[in-house]
Amino acid sequence: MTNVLSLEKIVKTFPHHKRVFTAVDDVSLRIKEGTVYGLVGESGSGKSTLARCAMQLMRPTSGRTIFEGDDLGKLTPRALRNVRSRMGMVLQNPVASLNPRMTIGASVAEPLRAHTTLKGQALQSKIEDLLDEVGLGAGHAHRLPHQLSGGQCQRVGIARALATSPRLLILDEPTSALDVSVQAQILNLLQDLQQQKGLTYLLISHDLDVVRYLSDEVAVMKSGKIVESGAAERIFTDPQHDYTRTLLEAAPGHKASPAVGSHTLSAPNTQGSN
Amino acid sequence: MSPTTEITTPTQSHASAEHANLKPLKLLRQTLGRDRLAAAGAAIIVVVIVLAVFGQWLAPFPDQGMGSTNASARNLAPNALNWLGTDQLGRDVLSRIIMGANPALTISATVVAAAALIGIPLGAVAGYCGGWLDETLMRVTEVFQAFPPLLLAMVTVAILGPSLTNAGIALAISWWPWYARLVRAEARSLRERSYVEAARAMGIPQLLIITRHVLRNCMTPILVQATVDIGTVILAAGSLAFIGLGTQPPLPDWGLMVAEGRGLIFSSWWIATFPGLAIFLAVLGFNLLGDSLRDLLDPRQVKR
Amino acid sequence: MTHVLTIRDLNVEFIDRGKVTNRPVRGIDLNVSAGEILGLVGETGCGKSLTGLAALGILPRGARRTGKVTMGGDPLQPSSEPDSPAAIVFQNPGTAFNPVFTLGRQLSDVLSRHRQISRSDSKSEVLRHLGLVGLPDPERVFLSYPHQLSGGMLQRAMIAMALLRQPRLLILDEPTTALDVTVARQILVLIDELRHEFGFGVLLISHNLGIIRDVCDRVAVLYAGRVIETGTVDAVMNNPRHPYTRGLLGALPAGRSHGERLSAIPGSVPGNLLSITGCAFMNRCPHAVIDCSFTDPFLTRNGSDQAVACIKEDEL
Repeated sequence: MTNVLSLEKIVKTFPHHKRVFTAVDDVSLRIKEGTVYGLVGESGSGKSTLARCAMQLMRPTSGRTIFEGDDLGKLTPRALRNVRSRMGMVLQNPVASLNPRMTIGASVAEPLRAHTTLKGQALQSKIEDLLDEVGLGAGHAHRLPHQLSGGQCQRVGIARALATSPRLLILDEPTSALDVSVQAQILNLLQDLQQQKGLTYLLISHDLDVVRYLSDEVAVMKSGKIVESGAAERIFTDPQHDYTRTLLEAAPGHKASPAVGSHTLSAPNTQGSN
Repeated sequence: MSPTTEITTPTQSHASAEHANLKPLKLLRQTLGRDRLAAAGAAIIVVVIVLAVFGQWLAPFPDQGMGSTNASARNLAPNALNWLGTDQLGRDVLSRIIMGANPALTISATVVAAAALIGIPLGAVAGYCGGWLDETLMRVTEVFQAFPPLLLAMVTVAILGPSLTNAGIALAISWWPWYARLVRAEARSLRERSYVEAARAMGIPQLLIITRHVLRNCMTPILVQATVDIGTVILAAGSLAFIGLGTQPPLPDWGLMVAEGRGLIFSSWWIATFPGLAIFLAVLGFNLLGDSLRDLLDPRQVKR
Repeated sequence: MTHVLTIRDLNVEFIDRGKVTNRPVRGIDLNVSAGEILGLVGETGCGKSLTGLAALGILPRGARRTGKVTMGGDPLQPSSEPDSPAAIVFQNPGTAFNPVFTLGRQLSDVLSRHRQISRSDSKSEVLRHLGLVGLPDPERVFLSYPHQLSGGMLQRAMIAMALLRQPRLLILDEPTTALDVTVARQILVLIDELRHEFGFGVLLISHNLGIIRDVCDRVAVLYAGRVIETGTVDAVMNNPRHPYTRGLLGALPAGRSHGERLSAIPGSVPGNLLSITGCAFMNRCPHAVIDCSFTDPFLTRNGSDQAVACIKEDEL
């Protein structure tokens, strides 16, 4: 299997009160074609920054991003725009990631107009196909985002990300703004799409259960570094790093923790994070 | 100005036209029905517009409105023939107020349109792109804003010569930085929105992002500001005329009329009072409407 | 065990110009005993936060409450009253404090409104409570402004503020949703310890079934403004009887293997509950029958530790 996306020694720093804050600190990872790579960590661990570096929405301070053979850092802005038709991104807040004044149909049409020559009826039927693919009726095309539920908006977000038939989707906390029942619908949809189309996902989430459910490989991030990575089952059943163990123990509803409240809960040992 | 018309497809533009026009009209009726102040503002504005368009047919003495004098009827108090009295040259005050609506509205609408046309693109580019471009543009606007607007206008008029057109140019020069800064602030916050990031991630060209995602979503504050500003510019143009730098006699202008009547305020109070009242009402009307527009144009309101 | 909170037939209605426009809480009965944690769980829009707030008499504009809320027989005072025996902790600790005053000042203000106390006693009492909630350096926290502390520390300070009122009932509205998992776990452990120590009852509102499972003694599952299932956490989580509870638990990805489909509940929560006759969950229920559209199911006790509002409960 070939690597769809390779990040090599990515560093991203921000100026912060006259000092330098290192959000991503020398991270390398490789994502194989047709697999799901999960990136877990708490807020401020740098996982979202890393995803934005992978998309070149932020230029990494140093390091290389190789996507399907192209070194994204060396591309002209125009070439980079074209590369972006081969990668899709689904963002955390489904309602906010749609322009409130654009109809659903216009939002889905946007990447198609930018990267394809589809027009008129052909464009319309493509939009309907895409909405259908994510389980929305064509009637939704004329609605505005606030007329849809969060779950429906996230379906639109997925339809839009799939519009240009990318091979890689970057999913940034795709279900964390959703209720569990809706989360299950979206997770099922993401899994179906991945299996039907052989897509590659980079899944970013703080929810260990979601990551475990979807991912083949997992990396755990803390303070800008990957502290542990490997096959998903191995990470969750046999964590090697202390921080991974801490995270697993703290996860709500985790099997290892005492079930009912009348017993004493174990508090994880996390000096410095509080 | 509608930068977004070209992006909707035929069937969609039909649907979005329904959203954009039909429902807000219904909503406008509802809002005006519920909100008395907004209705009052809208009523005042309708009256001003009607006077501006049909003034020469509505004025009892249109020729006096345009400046012809009537020496036999000087400084008459309000009476059955001259409802608001006459001025020191015997001209009917009501006619001059009615005829003054057109220049007042024309200059304010033109000034606001010109200021918006200059300020909006500059502000959008500065706010969205940031960096040195933003710095440079904002320093320029600060230079303009450092002068009191009326002083800047006076200097401009002094250079170009006093006339209504030159007063308009002067006001537009001192007004555009406000639009630039307003749009820049909006653009800066919109730039961080998820849907803008999503558009960048989809490889949408920058110019389209600015027009489609940024400008389209800062139209509400711009429209509100423009509505309020039409009133404010009426006041500012009146002030320029008052100090002799705007409309020149004998043409009708509310500010000029106040200036003409100011010496006689104790003996013939109506000459200055009624034009002053006209300015007051026009400004009030645009302010009231501007406030209710703010609520009206929120897209989330369409649902109700 | 004495009940510190008893809610009988609580309804919340929204009224616009004389007309009832929605009824998001529809006849809720709840008890919280001293020293107990009752979990109130449900999805967005099920009315769980509104129930907690309405119990304390805190209502949004245009809302009206009917029903009976008592504490040990007495009608419950709104929590804004100084002698109210109830305190509430909100979701976002970052916005719950006033940014321009020190935490010490804000906590002292709460204390002085609640009790007649001298200034020096007040400070030592506040410091003692900051220590109680596990803040490592109470003196420093006392002098800190909200932005100088992390979310987890602020939430501890919130809890200290609630404890200053010596509550018999603590209502926690999504207390850990804004926090990272490791910090959230510490806060839950703290709450668990404190209720044992002080014996107050806790109403814990959360959308997170895992948190409910971890810390609660009993749970009430809300759907469309109703309690549709209640009982001990063991009973409800291990043997859910209502199709909605089953749906929620089945939707969790935890413990599911790769490739296995999650049992998502189709559809979404009904927006307006005024026109509902019969069971509100009917449209999304895999077991619905004709009767469900006529019969409004009420909570029926099954054994001693579980009650379910479903007419087909016996057959499921």
